[in-house]
Amino acid sequence: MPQFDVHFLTSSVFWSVVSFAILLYLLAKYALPPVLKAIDEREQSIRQTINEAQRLKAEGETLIKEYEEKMAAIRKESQEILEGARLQAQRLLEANERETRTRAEKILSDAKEEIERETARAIRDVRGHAASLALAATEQILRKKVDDGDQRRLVEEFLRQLEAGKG
Amino acid sequence: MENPLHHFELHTLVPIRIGGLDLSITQGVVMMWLAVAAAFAVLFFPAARLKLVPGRRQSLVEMAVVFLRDMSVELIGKKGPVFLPLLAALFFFVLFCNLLGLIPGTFTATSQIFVTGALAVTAYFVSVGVGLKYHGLHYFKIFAPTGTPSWLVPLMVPIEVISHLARPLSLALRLFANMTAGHTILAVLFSLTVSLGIALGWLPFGFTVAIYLLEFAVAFIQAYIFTILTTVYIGDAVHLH
Repeated sequence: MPQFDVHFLTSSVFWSVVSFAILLYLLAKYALPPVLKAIDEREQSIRQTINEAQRLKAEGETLIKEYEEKMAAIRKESQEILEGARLQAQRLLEANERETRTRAEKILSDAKEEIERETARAIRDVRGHAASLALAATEQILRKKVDDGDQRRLVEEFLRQLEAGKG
Repeated sequence: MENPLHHFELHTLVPIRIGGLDLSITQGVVMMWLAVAAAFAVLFFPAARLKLVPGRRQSLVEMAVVFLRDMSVELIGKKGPVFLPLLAALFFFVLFCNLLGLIPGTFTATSQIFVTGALAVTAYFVSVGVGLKYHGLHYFKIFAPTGTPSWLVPLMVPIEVISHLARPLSLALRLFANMTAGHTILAVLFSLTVSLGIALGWLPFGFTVAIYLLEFAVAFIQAYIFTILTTVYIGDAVHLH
């Protein structure tokens, strides 16, 4: 095999070590540091971003919790207000109803009294009128047959009867 | 039929001789330079061009770098990223040598045993150096791990030494053999295609295409294996098993 020809041994060994050393120098001095720095920076930036995201997430969660608590309090309060309003409305309604009823009853009783009064007065009036009519009639009759004692007695009886009917 | 190993031959392009050493520039050396240039072109971003939201090339480069970094952390430990430049240089040097060699008409530097050997020995020396730096002479206790019965030590030490020395050898041979085998198969199939003509040539040509795609995957896999084994060896040196 040509590779075992020692003619080029020194040249191959020397130049491969030199070439390798040159590459090692170039990589160590120029190529690797910026790449490693970029990698570190990216790792740092990713870590920072993750931390930031986690912080924001925790913050958001507490905000949501606070908001939910507030919402619950508000809901409870509104419930209470609503309940109070309903109770008040009911009370008002009941009071109103009571008042209306008493007023109506009063009107009714007033009316009844009025009617009774009017009725009594009417009866009185009618009776008075009837008495005077009877008196007038009696007078007429008496004027014609005043002497007749029987007739006077009849009139008096009639008057008594009227008197009895009054009760 | 052309000798399928012919295209592994090196040729001097610019003869250089320093002292008694032949340091001539061959086409293999040029390919290594091209690999270095290509790797740097792909990996280098001027600072202003690096974006927080990466583009396609940046994503790919970052993915590779993060992959190597995570591998170093997993196999070496907290100090892993210290070795990242070395591991990245190994990975991309081998990868680009492999990939550029797949372009028809070029030369695969990693199909040269001396090239893979030089890389493997370098990686091996680094792992030994790391072990000596971290543990001093205690590092040599890996040849006789604590808990070894004393009568086993004469047996254990040679075995451990051999297995330790086998590391660079296996690294070098694996890469060299894979690259050589793939390119030899491609050369054989392609010369078959040419010699069979249109009537029958489509059959080996189909295989050429299939093997070519396979070689593309092998280029990545071998670069990965070379790098991960080096990482494992460095991890061993840091942790002493």
